[in-house]
Amino acid sequence: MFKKSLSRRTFIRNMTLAGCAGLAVNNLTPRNVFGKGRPAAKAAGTTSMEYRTLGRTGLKVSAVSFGVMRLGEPAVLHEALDRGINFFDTAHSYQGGNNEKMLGKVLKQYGRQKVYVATKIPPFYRASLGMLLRDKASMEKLLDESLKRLQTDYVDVLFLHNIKEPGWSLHQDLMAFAEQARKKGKARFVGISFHASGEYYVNIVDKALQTDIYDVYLATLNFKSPQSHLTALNRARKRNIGIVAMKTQAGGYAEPKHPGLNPHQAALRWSLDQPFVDCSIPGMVNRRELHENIAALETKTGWAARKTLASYYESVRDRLCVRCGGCDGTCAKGVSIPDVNRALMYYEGYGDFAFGKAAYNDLPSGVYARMCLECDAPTCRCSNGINLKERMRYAHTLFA
Amino acid sequence: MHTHCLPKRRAENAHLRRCTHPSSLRPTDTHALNLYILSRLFCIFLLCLLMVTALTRPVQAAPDQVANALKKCSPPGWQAADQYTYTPNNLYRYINGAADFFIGYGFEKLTGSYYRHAVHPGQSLTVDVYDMGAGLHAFGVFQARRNSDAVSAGVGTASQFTDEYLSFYKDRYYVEVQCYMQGTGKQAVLRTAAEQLAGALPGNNRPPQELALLPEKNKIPGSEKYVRGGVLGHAFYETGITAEYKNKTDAGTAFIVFCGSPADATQAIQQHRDYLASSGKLCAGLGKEFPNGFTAEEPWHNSIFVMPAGAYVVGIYDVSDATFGRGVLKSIYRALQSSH
Repeated sequence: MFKKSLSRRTFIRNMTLAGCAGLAVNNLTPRNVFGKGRPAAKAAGTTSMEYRTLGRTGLKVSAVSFGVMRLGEPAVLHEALDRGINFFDTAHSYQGGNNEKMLGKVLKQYGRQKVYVATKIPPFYRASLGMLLRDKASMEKLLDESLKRLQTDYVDVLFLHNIKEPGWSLHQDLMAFAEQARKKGKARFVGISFHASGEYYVNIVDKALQTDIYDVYLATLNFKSPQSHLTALNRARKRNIGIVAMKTQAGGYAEPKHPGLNPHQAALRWSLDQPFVDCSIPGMVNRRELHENIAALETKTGWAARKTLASYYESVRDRLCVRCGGCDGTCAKGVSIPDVNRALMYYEGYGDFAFGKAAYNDLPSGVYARMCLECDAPTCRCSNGINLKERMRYAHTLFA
Repeated sequence: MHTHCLPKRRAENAHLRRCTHPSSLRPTDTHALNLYILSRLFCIFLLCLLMVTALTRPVQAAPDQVANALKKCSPPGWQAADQYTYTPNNLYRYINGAADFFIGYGFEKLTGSYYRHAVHPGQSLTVDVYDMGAGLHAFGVFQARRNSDAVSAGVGTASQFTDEYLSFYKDRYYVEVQCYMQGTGKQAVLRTAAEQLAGALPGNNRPPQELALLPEKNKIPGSEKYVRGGVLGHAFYETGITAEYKNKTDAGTAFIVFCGSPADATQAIQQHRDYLASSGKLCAGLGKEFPNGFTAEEPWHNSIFVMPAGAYVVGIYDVSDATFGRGVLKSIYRALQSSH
């Protein structure tokens, strides 16, 4: 048998070629993962999207995914796809169904199998008797409508939209609907979404964990979330539930002394740094927001970045209401502290003074913070160390 | 004439203010009398100006009127039960994530009511009136949520029926009426409630005046949209209106971006050029007829024709026939010029 002896030069050349080929195969650029889509803009920058496994679903989703809800321009979706985003979240109710239609059109152009889609079906409706749960048949009808709008036979994740009561996730009709959608192949995986605050949030997680039906939780999570919420989601993660974070950027505070990441990016980065979060779905309406959010991912959280974030957090901590609800009812004079704090957040967080003022002045006269100006025996308490008395006085001086 | 006199007569006016105090006498010398008459004429002029402004402005927020209108809405067999209100800071409690969508369009207040059926308590009717602050905002929400297959119910400025609800807008209000009931008659209930409410809500049924900036020729009726967040997904084209245009050979989407000032419009169009350049697209000028205008291939769309026009940026995209694109662009430009 002919045996060719390798010279040192040949060996190096072959190894270099093999290495390059290997890199090309393993390079998870969007083009390589998803193939070529519609003729697109030349990439303004190279995308280095990070992919994570969505819990027990096994889906490899982009860490920065896309909340489509407010978007009206499909070109932004095309660019997101080209930049490596592969998980898109919409809902039956968004824009009266037009949101699903727009996404469906893009999916068809890009290739359905290359994209992961989640939609949400409302399990309840409102009536004079309160919130009433829909029956299984009516939810199936809504799901079929959604699939038609999305121009697909299935969604990758089907969420029961906005679970308001902890017991709902165990309701027979809802569970039967979810189970059947999966069995019929209309949904590969099912989950719940929830926006609750305080103990309700924790109770919803714990109740849903009593069944194995739900594979994914879509939950409000941001750097202001109380520790109890983080702990609850961590419990779910240990059961291998996929965790999708939403409302991740609520109330970012503009801090010019931290020029590296802007507040929205920092808030998004914070959510992605939580070990139990598989992906975040920031809502985006234009390319600027898309670029910003992807850039947040590209910023590696090394020691310097962590220090910046920690410093950023510390700098706002004294006024940062995490909406834990612990202060509610602690004022003997009846000031509604959480509502006043929310008004302050609109001003300080969103930079919208008019909105904050409107929210403050909308409070009933008995619960706003005028009486704090003369209060010399405050009973208000914040477990996170916020000087509530000063904050309430500040709010009244600012808005009244 | 009186306006001409005012600046140099400030001191005298100050004097007149003292003179016209109820406790003082009216001026007696001719010069002072002239000033007195002029000041009175000026007051009348101001009053007229205020009245004209008040009449031409969209109807102001009138929460009591909305609440009263909801009380007048009473389809046979249904009784108004609880009323509720939501503001931007708590709308999410009612419609969750969709609240961001409404807030993005300028939402100010929701006033709604539940109605109870006299015989069947399990059936329900809910009416939600979203005060969007301006007619254009209400129109924007309505169009964004409009189902292209839905039929008009002939209520308010524009309306639609779907299986689940009836929606319409009137002046600054966007309204959704939903009914859950078994059997037939659902659409009749929705229509009756909507008609009663539309009749009782303040304001008029004229579409927002901004839409008149889009010329009628070749425009597809009902295709107009109000965009917040970015026309074509461009943040520098943050707010604008769009409409579909079509002739025998070509079709496209025309747009008018509201930039605030000519300088802002120039800046926005430069940002657009920069974006196209960074996307590897070439811009070609449109000639003297379209000052500072250009055409290019818009990423993920066909050709675009665009130009600044005062405080606006106007254009049309997704066209393949340059003659058609230029024609629509010219007609929008002319319509804008004639509107000023």
